[in-house]
Amino acid sequence: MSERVPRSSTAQLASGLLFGIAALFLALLSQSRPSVAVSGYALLVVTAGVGLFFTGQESVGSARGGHAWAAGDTTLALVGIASGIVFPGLVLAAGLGYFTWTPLAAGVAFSVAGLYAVYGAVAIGQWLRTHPV
Amino acid sequence: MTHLLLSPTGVRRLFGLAVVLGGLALAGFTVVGRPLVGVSAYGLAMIATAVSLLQTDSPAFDERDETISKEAASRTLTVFGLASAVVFPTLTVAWGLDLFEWQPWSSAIALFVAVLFLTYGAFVVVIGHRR
Repeated sequence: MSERVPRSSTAQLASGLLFGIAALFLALLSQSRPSVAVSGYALLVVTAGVGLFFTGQESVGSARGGHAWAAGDTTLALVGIASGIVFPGLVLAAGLGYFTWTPLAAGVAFSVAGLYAVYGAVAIGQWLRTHPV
Repeated sequence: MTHLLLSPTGVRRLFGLAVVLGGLALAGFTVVGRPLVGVSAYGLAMIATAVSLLQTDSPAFDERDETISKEAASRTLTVFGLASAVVFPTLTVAWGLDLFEWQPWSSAIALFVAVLFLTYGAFVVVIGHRR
């Protein structure tokens, strides 16, 4: 059991690197050689996925899973609190004529709305499953 | 001074209702073009959440709620991560093939997702180290 932890974390590190390289590859080559970029991306992502599948089945296991859960919760709390301050502020400023909504700001606002809509739906689903009405 | 005590369940319902209604009012009134009404409604809703938390002497949220929140957060990020890993490479390739043009709003979504997962990655590292 003890050798499994370093193995899965090495696999995670390697697959993370492969995903990063794949994204970089795609971003750099997509304009000049799109077909090379997409096949390279697919190859790297499949390699990373297969590597994780064979070595890192524990990657979503209890110990790492606990960290990832806490991290996800903290991230969403942070983004949520920041949005809860920033967006009402922007709406107020826009109402008073100090700020105009640009497509950029609106895009971020809709992303935040989408994110918390998904979170809310999942949370309500979980809650209904654990608290039968 | 009225000291109305609510049960934890009542506080939770009031809290959730206020957050959802406040957010919807803010978004709705902004889209409709009445931003000041939206901000006032949102402010009232936030006051309501704070007051509702003070109306009970037992903790409103327990470990079970915390577990649900953590699981839901993790699943949400997984859904967003998988969707992004498919959608953004496709868009980038379509852009390379001149089938798609990056608009300010689509780059804004891409940037937001990037920032979100950078934050998440940082917390994974930090929380992993602390334990």
